[in-house]
Amino acid sequence: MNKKPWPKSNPDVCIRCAACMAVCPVSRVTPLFPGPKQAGPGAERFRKTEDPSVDPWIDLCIGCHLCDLVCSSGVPISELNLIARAKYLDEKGRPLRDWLLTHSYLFSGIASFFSVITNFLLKNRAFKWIADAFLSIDRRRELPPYQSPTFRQWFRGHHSTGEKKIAYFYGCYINTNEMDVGKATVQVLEANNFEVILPPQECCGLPMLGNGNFKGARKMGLKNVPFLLKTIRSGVEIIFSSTSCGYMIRHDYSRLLNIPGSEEVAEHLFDLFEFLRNLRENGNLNTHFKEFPLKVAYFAPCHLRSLGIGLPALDILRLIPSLQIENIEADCCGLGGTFGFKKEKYDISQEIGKDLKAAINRLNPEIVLTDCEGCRMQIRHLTGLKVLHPIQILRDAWMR
Amino acid sequence: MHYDLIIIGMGLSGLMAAKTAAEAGRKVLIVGKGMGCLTLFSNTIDVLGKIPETTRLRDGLSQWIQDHPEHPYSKVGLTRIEEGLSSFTSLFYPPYIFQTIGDGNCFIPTGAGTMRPTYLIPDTMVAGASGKEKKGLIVGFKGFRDFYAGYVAGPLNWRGIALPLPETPGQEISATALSRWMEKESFRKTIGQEIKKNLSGETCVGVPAILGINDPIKVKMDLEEKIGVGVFEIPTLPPSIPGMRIFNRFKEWLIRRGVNFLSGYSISKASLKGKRCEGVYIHHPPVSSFYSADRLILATGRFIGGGLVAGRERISDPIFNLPVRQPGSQEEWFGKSFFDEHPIHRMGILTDSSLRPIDETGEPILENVRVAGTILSGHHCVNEKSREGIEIATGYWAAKKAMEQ
Ligand code: SF4
Ligand code: SF4
Repeated sequence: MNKKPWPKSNPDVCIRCAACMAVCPVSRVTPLFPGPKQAGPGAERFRKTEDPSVDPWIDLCIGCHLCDLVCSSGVPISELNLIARAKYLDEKGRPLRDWLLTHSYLFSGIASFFSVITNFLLKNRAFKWIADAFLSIDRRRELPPYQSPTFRQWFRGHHSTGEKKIAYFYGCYINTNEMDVGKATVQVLEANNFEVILPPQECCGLPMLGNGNFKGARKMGLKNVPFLLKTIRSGVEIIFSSTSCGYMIRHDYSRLLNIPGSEEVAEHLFDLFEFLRNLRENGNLNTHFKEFPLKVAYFAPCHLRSLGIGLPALDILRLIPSLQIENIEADCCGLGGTFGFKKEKYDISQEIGKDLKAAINRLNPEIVLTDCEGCRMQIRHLTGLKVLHPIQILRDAWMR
Repeated sequence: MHYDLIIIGMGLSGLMAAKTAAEAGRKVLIVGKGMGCLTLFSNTIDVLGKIPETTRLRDGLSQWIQDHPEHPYSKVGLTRIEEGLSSFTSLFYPPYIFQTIGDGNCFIPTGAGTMRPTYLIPDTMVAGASGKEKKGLIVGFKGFRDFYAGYVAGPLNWRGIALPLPETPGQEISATALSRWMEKESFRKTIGQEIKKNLSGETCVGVPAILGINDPIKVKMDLEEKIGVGVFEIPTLPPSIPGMRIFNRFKEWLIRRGVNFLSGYSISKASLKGKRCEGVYIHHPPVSSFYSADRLILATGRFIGGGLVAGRERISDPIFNLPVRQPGSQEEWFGKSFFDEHPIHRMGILTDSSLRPIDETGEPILENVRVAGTILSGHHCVNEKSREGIEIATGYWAAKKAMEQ
């Protein structure tokens, strides 16, 4: 690690009001984690960079940001935790498993190409047993299947046209595992008269940052920002459909990773539905929807909440006639990116998920919608229901 | 984005204002730096705890209004206070509802073992209200450090016990974790049996206010069935689970009504033009977004949420820099001892009767801005035991007046 590996935050503004304790999904389900008040500002007062880390429970913070959103004193709690976790994991050393989970972008291309074989393996009980025994990737998790062609390959054969240009940061998962989300995004934007372009892009680096690997995450940011800068400087704005990638680029790149040029990128980077909502605000959204009688429930991912833009997908989907849509009253889904794949954390992840599952059951929807791929994976795992990105429903409301 | 009304602050006053405006079909944005103080102070709804025990609240309030012309209640007026309160209670549907005991204040046990006056209480606290006459057992839990049964029971001359928690011996447990456990049938079964074993002639059981977040009445009724006597909740140290239930209910209702609900972000700047505010900038580094509005309501509370900040010489509101009633220089802010009257508690923003901010001469400063909640001057809600009442009444009235404009 370089000399000043982690940014510094001030814990002393905490007034111990415990609002954060009311919302933390982890301390709600396990007494092993003392909760944001203690883990963040409380313990921070005793931490010194030169002393070794003493609290292994710091690794249980799922990084949902929910505590930050309720703290009236502006304590950057989840950031304090992330930095302390990074230090703890740097000292303790990370298992090979963590490397694999956070570097999937390196092999996802090959995995997609050989998707038939990879998917067979990923579903194979023996393979899962091996992954569980040797890598501590919990065997009860379904590993997401790969798709071929990838989104990028599909796009290459697609001819996008429109009056104005818009750039799309689609992220790894859409590219190799859920390409229909990418397709739907392109189709909706084209229906609104935008020509979609795909700037060169790499994994945003969030899986690494979430695992406290600042250096690795920064490397990804340093690769992406010049591509994105070039795009916006040519007068084209950028949208993202994954709220996690979006949050990472818009906020973490500058605040936590200090990547030159990231502030400029952030100004021109929008959540897909935020962008559509802006179009509507100016009267430019194509709202020729067909009747769409379907009962759906929408879940707002943690990273969407921390973007601080409200619930734009809900605002837009409510325009679709006869679509019955309810907001799911629950917090974090419990997956936390790679958190829920880890054997030692699987049970915590599932306990958190149970509350979400109960909230979904109360609404009894046909389909669940959410903007984050992690949440989609987790909700499928928890409920067995069909789970889509809201853009897929919006597309279907037009094209049926 | 443009809104009919932007509300700054997510405490009870801001939430009430948002509800009032959304009910009238307006496009509303509510933005708060955090979740407000509901989980900090509020378990029940105090309106005017200070009035004599047997006085009807209505009579007490109208006398108060006559005697305190500068008080927020006097600006709102008796009828509107009552309208606000019933608008609040209408948000809750059976079985978890708020109610009064008779037509005045009732007394509920506190975590410190005193009986405190309050007005509206949730159904989960009814069995403990005015409970001095009863004989109760107070149950705490080992490892839950925000509630000591002995403290509560002692002064009441009741009995207090602390039960060990199954599964986590020796570990500390938070109020939210305990609430979640309470929602599990198996946990209630174990706890219920334990409590029943420990009863010796008591006719009710008081527990910390952790009877679940989503369906506390079901939890309470099930426990009562298992124990055989009435069960009631007693407020604990923060975070307050009953306060969280109130917050969650507002949030759910407001989002369903299409209100844009932004928690976690502070206003970096208000854009002013003459005597109007055109909108606000919300800063989320590195991005700053502008939201415009026809009208705004400032409901940022006092010092805890940062609604007022104290400098060396003066106290100010960081968003609009409105005049704050200041009781002299800093030496005069505090009383000599902790329990003295501290003049700093009376500071707040000056407004006219329609809750518009005014200067010392009574001239309105911003015509499309109203002020609501504890940030207002002219009250001492801690002493008066009027916090939630002031928040509800002024939140309601500020939104009503704003929409008339
Ligand atoms: S919400 Fe903020 S101020 Fe309150 S205890 Fe948590 S960190 Fe401290
Ligand atoms: S980031 Fe989430 S899991 Fe971590 S302390 Fe905050 S609320 Fe808890």
